[in-house]
Amino acid sequence: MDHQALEILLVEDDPADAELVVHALRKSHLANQIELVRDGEEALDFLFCRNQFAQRSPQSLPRLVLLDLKLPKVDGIEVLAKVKSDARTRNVPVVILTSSKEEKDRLNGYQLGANSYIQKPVDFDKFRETVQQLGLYWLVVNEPPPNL
Amino acid sequence: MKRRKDLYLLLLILTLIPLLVVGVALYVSYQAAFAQQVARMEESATRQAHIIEALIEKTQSPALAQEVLLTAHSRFREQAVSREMVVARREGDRIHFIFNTLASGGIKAEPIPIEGPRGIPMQRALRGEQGSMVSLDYGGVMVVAGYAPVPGVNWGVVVKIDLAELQAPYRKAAILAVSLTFALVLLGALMFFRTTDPLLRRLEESEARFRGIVETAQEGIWLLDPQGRLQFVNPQMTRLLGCSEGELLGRPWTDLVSPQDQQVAERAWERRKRGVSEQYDIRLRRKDGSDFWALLVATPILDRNAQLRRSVGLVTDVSERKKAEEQIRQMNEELERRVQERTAELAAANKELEAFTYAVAHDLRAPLRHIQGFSNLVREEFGPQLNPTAHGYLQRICEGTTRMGILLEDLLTLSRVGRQELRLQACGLNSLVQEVLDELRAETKGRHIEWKIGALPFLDCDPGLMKQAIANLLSNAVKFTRPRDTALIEIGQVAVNGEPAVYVRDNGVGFSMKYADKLFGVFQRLHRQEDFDGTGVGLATVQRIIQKHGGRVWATAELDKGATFFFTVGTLAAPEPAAQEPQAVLTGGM
Repeated sequence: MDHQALEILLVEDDPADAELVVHALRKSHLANQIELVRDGEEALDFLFCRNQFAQRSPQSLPRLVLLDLKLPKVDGIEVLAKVKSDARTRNVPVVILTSSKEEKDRLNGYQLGANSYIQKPVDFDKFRETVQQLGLYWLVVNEPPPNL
Repeated sequence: MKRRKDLYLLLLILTLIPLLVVGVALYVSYQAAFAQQVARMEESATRQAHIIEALIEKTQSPALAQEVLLTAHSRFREQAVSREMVVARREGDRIHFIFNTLASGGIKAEPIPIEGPRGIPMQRALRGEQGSMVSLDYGGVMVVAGYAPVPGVNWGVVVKIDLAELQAPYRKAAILAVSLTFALVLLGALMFFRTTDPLLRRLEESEARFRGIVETAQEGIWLLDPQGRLQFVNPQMTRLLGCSEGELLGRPWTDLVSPQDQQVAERAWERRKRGVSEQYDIRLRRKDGSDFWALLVATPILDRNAQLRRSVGLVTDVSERKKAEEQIRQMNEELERRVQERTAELAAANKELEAFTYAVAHDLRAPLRHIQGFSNLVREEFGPQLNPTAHGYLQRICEGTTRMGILLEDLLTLSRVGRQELRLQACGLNSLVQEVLDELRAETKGRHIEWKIGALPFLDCDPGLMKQAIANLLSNAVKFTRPRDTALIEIGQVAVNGEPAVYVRDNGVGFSMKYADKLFGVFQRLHRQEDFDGTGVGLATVQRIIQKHGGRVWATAELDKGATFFFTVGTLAAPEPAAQEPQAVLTGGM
């Protein structure tokens, strides 16, 4: 796996949503290297180079994590808590991209250190626009922390 | 009847008193008259003796003296019938009478022996004694006599009067007094009885009547003395308490009260002493130690100084009523508990339903996005390869998903309203209306709408939800007035059955009142989709919001003439007086 090219880790259990996200990002040429994981456990394995990702270099962290909250096995909030409480991964920007607008989830997300909280719009055009905007912001506009 | 006997005794005393008084008076005056008479007799006898002595001395002849005396006395008549002077001399052992004044012309009496039962005063005079006495005279008649000897000769003088004559006036007076007293007492008694007897009889009857009532009363009755001791109890009271009358009388009434209610009894007694009548429930204790609930009607009787004289108590056994009350209370509690259970169940079911609605609406959004997304991708990436029919189909898919998206959002709003806690704060409806109007600007662009906004109340409500309700009502009005050249939309306040209500009136297409009951149901629509778009959730949301505020919402309408929606809010405050007139009339394409 080419660690230099890794730009986005997409944590999404719904393959259709994942495909739409990837499509939107590709279409605007924002991300060349997107890694898709299907549940919270896989996300944590990837970030901490465990199990199937044991070969990965721990230095190669994504520049952005797009995190869904409703995930099988380990849910998004837990993934967020682990990422933000570990010194190695703390600086990785995590954007919650979910269909939930629940106050509880938003509050939890921000308290645990989420960098952004975005609700997936139902309308596809808006959805595409939103994904493109957030890709543009985090990968182009925003200056990453020095070690990423 | 004891009282009757007393009355007779009283009459007897009344009779005896005048008799005694008259008797004593007669006796005393008789005694005085008697003593006077006796003294006069003695004096008179002595005087006559000395006259005779002087006469004999002067004449030196007893015979001449005798003649002079007779002559003198013949010229004088005694007033008293039986008064008489007798002169006699002693000859041997016999008394020879010289003369007595009652006999005409000299002596009538035969000589009598000097020692004998008769003529004792003369016997004494002839023995040379002087005095007076009551005794038999020579004729054997009881007399009061004065006697004296004539000195120098063997003569004696006796002046006497019959005792009977002396006593006669007093006897007469006594007889008169006694008969008069009896007559008067009899008359008095007669009148007394004539007056009192009916009174007594009435009193007796009345007493018997009241006694009958008291004794047959279904209530226990007691009379208490000022110390709270039982003075009287009726038979029912003894039955209620299981005690005999003897066991009750003289005991403090608080002895009959259950230990649990002693304080109640003491406080009640304090009120009795202040003259307070009342009725209250209290537990009384029977002789066997069991308690029962009694209704006690207590009435104090005060004297003129406002001091308690006695207290009357009426006691009814109300155990049955208490039992019934207790049953009703238990039943009410049970009912209340069941209602609470059912309410909780209902609330839980409602919550579940809302959660379900939310989950369904929420989870349906993702597939909807996918349909929309991929059909868009088809159009974008394979557009050139598709014929117009395929493009048309894709268009339909897009329109369907858009509508479904709106529907899902509306459903989510509805379920959010249901689940959301009210955050009440004082809020003016006019400002909410203004905010809504600002938001409707885009929707009303190019249309001619005349807004009439009246003075709306300030009230405690959840401003977010209330704004949502107003927004739904106003956007409905905007929607259904679309066919009108000039839409007229009015919002104001009106009293409905005395309750303040807010109304929203439009001159839109209205609806038939036949379907009024379907108006607020979820997904209920009264118009075709191609005429007026909508999901049928808006009014359901309005209703949910208003109901959450404790109010209600309803509508009146006429087909093709317009509709008016009303809502009340539980505690709708009055508008501020300064804002009674319509605030603004906005005209033109907002």
